[in-house]
Amino acid sequence: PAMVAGGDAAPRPRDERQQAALRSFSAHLQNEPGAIAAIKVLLELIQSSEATTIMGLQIELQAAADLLRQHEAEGISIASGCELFMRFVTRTALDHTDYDECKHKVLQRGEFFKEHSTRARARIAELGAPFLRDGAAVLTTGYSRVVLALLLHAASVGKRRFTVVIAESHAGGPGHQLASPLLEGGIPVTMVDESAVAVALESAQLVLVGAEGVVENGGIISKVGTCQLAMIAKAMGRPFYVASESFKFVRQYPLNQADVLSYGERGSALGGGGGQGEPKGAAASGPAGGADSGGGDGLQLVVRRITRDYTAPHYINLLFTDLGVLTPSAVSDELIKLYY
Amino acid sequence: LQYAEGVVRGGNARCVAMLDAFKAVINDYTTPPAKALNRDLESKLRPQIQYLVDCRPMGINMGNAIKWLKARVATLPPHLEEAEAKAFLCAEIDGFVSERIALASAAISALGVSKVADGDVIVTYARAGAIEQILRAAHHAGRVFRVVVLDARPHWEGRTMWKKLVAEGLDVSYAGLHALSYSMRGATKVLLGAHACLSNGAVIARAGSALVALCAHRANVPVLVACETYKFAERVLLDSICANELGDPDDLVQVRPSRLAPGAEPPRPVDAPTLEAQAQAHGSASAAAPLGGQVEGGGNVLACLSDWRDVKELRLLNLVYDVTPCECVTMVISEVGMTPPTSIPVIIREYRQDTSAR
Repeated sequence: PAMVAGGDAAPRPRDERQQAALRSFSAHLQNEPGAIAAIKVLLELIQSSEATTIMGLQIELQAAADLLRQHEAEGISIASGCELFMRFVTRTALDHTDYDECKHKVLQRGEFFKEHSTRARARIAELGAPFLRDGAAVLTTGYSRVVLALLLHAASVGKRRFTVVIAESHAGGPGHQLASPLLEGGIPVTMVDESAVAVALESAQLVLVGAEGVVENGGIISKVGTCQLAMIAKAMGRPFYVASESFKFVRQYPLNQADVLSYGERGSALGGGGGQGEPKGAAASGPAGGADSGGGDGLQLVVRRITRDYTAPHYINLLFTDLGVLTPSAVSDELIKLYY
Repeated sequence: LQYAEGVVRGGNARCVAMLDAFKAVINDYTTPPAKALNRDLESKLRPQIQYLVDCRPMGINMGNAIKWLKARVATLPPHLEEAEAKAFLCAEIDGFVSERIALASAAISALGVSKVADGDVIVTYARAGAIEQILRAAHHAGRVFRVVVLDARPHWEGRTMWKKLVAEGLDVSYAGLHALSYSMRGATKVLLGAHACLSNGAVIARAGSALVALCAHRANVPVLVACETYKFAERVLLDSICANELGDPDDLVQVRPSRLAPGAEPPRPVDAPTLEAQAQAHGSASAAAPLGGQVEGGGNVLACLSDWRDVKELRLLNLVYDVTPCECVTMVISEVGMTPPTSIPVIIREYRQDTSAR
């Protein structure tokens, strides 16, 4: 919207197109991770675009990307996927000056990007499966499609026998979503509370989690509780593995947890944590309200609903990505190659 | 000569001054008949470089700049006229200065500002131009934060730093390096400048920086190092002393005797070249007085050092730089972006590919 230059007649058709984009996005989201759904929406936008210049096209795409970023709780991976795609677009625009040729190239590259990303999960499953030894107990938390694919692949194609322990404290939490397909795939599953991970890790051999975003130094941003799990795993000498597609690599560099919370709050680059019915995703919902309304009554209880945390790279042993099995320091190498 | 006396201080300033001097040399140069410009110019540059090295050991950044310049001279298109060639070289030098020094500093300061948050307590050491820029820019961007400047003998560079920051309106505390562990307790970030960054992720910086980084690492305070990419070196140094063993022409060990102020004066902690300047500074800057005031004991100790040359078993060691290991550095801010220190060889490789592709 900030980029729409003047004109009152212009906003309405754009709004309609934005609504259509959002609908299409929600539809895609049923089956795919946020970033791929976002790319599909952007590709559809290019095809239906009425822009006549490359610049105009870029402006439309940017506006759509900004809108998508704010919409979902999966903001980080959407943001990084969109940014990568926009870079493809910009680079193509620099290489080809003819608009139609450029548009054609962008669509081609977009298709390639989409396919590459869809195949990423399969590739990650292949790379990561050998790390699950026979008889191992794997601890995981949260619901990650990549982790699910990896585990199912290891059990079926890799013919490994292992059990999975899911750390999940909420009755309706994402861990339950992970349990059913695993059981259907013939993998025994045990559920424990997140507070019991130290106990569960004694009998587990490795930890495997997914990520929402992988940051510049190889650390990850993911569901809250992952960082604790990583620290405990390190203290107990268990390897900690992360499975993540490369489009989740973001050029952010958090220094501590506060940096990640502020991303969620501002909703700027990484999208607000929309959450399910909670007023604020990652931000503290207590302090300001508590201070104001607590004037006459004395102290008020401050409740912070934190949904994301940052796991520092020295807790992570390896990352399974479609670019290969990487150490955390190799992530920056890949990012530099991707972005320059 | 200015450079030898220490009048021109600071890595970037020295490099820019050196390149300016080389531009003058190039402009004054005339190709002898029957010789190729590029080869002859290079041989003329060599004694100039040697002279500089004799004045004061060359910094890594200047070494990189000279390598770049020699490569440029060697790859000059042979068909260029002498005047064109000279103009081309001077333009290239200007380009180098503006791209890899000036613009790089601007990019670094923009990135650094994004890492300064409201309520931060930022510890820094001695004086680094890049850090000064970052702090100034963050202040102008409206961030509310405090700065702690730590400082040490013999140069007390931190004094210039705090004066400049206070002039901009920042909230500054100033302490000697002995207050390190106390300052680190309340610190949220450490910002350090660098002389060079090495291939193993280690950082060469003013002596004392390693202490600050180590203490910060221990206290879980992130250490951010600001360094332009032209200072990245392909060398690997394991600790602060072994540079000589690597056949490094830089002699990082400079021996400077400490002289005592002549008798009747109240004794002050001194070092040779800036003796008078120090005395004036003590008079004017009251904030420096508590530090200058370790006088009684200091005077006596220095008195016994004044004849150190006569004591055969005694050697004074005044190291200018030290090496901070990779694990203690959280992030390196360069014009390429914010990267972990382990990515330095990657950046060097990317730049080498760029320059060889040209």
